[in-house]
Amino acid sequence: MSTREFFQRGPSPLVRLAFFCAFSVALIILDTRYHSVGFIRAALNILIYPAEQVAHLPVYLFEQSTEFFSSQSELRASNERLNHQLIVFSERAAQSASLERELNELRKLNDLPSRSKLPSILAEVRHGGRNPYSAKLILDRGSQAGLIEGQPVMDTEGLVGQITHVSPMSAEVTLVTEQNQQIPVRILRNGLRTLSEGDGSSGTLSLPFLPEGADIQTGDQIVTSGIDGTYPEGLPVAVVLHIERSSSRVFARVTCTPVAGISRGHYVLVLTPPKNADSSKLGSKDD
Amino acid sequence: MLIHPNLAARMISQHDRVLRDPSHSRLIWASVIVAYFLTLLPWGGWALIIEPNWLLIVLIHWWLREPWRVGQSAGFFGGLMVDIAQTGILGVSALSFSIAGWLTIKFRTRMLAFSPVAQTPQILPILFGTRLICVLTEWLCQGGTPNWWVLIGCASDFAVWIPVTLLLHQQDLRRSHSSP
Repeated sequence: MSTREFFQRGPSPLVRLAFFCAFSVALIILDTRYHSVGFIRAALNILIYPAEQVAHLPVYLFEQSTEFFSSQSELRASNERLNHQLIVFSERAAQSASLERELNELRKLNDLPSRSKLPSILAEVRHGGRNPYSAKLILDRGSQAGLIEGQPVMDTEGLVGQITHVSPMSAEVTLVTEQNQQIPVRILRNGLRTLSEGDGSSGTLSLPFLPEGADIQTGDQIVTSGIDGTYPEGLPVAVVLHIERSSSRVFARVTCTPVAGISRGHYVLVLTPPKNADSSKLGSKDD
Repeated sequence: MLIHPNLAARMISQHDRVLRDPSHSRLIWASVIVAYFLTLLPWGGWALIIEPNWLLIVLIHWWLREPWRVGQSAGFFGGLMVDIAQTGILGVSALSFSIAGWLTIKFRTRMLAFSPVAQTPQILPILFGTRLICVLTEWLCQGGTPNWWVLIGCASDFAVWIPVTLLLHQQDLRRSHSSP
């Protein structure tokens, strides 16, 4: 038995336990209900940043060496594919510019404000997050690059999620498939507006507020409706995978699969929410 | 129980020498830093589920053997750092680690009566309880279905506990023999 047990000083272990439990519960409440512990998170993130970089070094080196040793035939195939995509996208861009001009002219004729392009920042996905309870992405850019909480994030296919925490050198993206992550969307085919909600670990989304008789089909494309001012309008979100209708329920059960390469993307684009576009500090240098 | 003044004085001086021994502090700090570094590795997918609670395992070892150096506050702050590393809700691991620390320190005298390997069945409920607290707290905060899969990770905690505690115990003994 140590001498400490004979001459114990300070509060008893039970009092200490009560103190730390109360402190932990207070932190949990502040984080989940009021989102007011961002400064603690940011400060501790800075503290662990160097160790985190070192811990990720082996994976980074492996990826770099894999890329370096990729065969010439693979590179040629990739180059060919990208050239093909470039031609397709150039044609679409030309069409889009013409349509945008027309739209702006029509808006002017109807005394509506013209739409402006939203600035964006290119970011690299550092890792897929280490949280076993929720799927997240960690980006290599943070508040130093001008990122703020609430910004939508997309990849080449569609909407990936939304930035929920920002540190000076990194940002955390909560995915569209995350539980309780709601997005105002519309069905591209008929313009029907609703809300999408992530299903959590299953990696799918659902449309929980569509009436049982709503006009929706398997394969319908779901895009953002832009109604909340957070997500720009028209970003592809998901494709309807399965519909379950039952007369005993008010709402249909609609399961969708996200279009974005949530678990395989390497680069993402961080967009400015339309409501922040005017006051945003973001530059479009990486656009 | 009465202690002879000379015996008490000798015990206090021994205790102070242990407390001041810098090599021992270095071993504790090194083990904690290595455990946290392992937590920071880019675990993903299923590896996240079966990832051992590295820091908790090391902390339990020190709570058993050096509770006057590694106290309950280490559990709270260690848990907080794990929350940061996991980008989870701040306070979840801090809460579970604090409880694990209290339980380990409370039953340490009983556990120390056994060899490091024989302590394992008594450590397992603490490791399981820690994960259960995390799962239930996350469920209460986020709603939906609790992620029970995380409890599978107890098996890896169990597997890692024996080599880690034996290694640290061996290092500790080597240090004790080499120190004057």
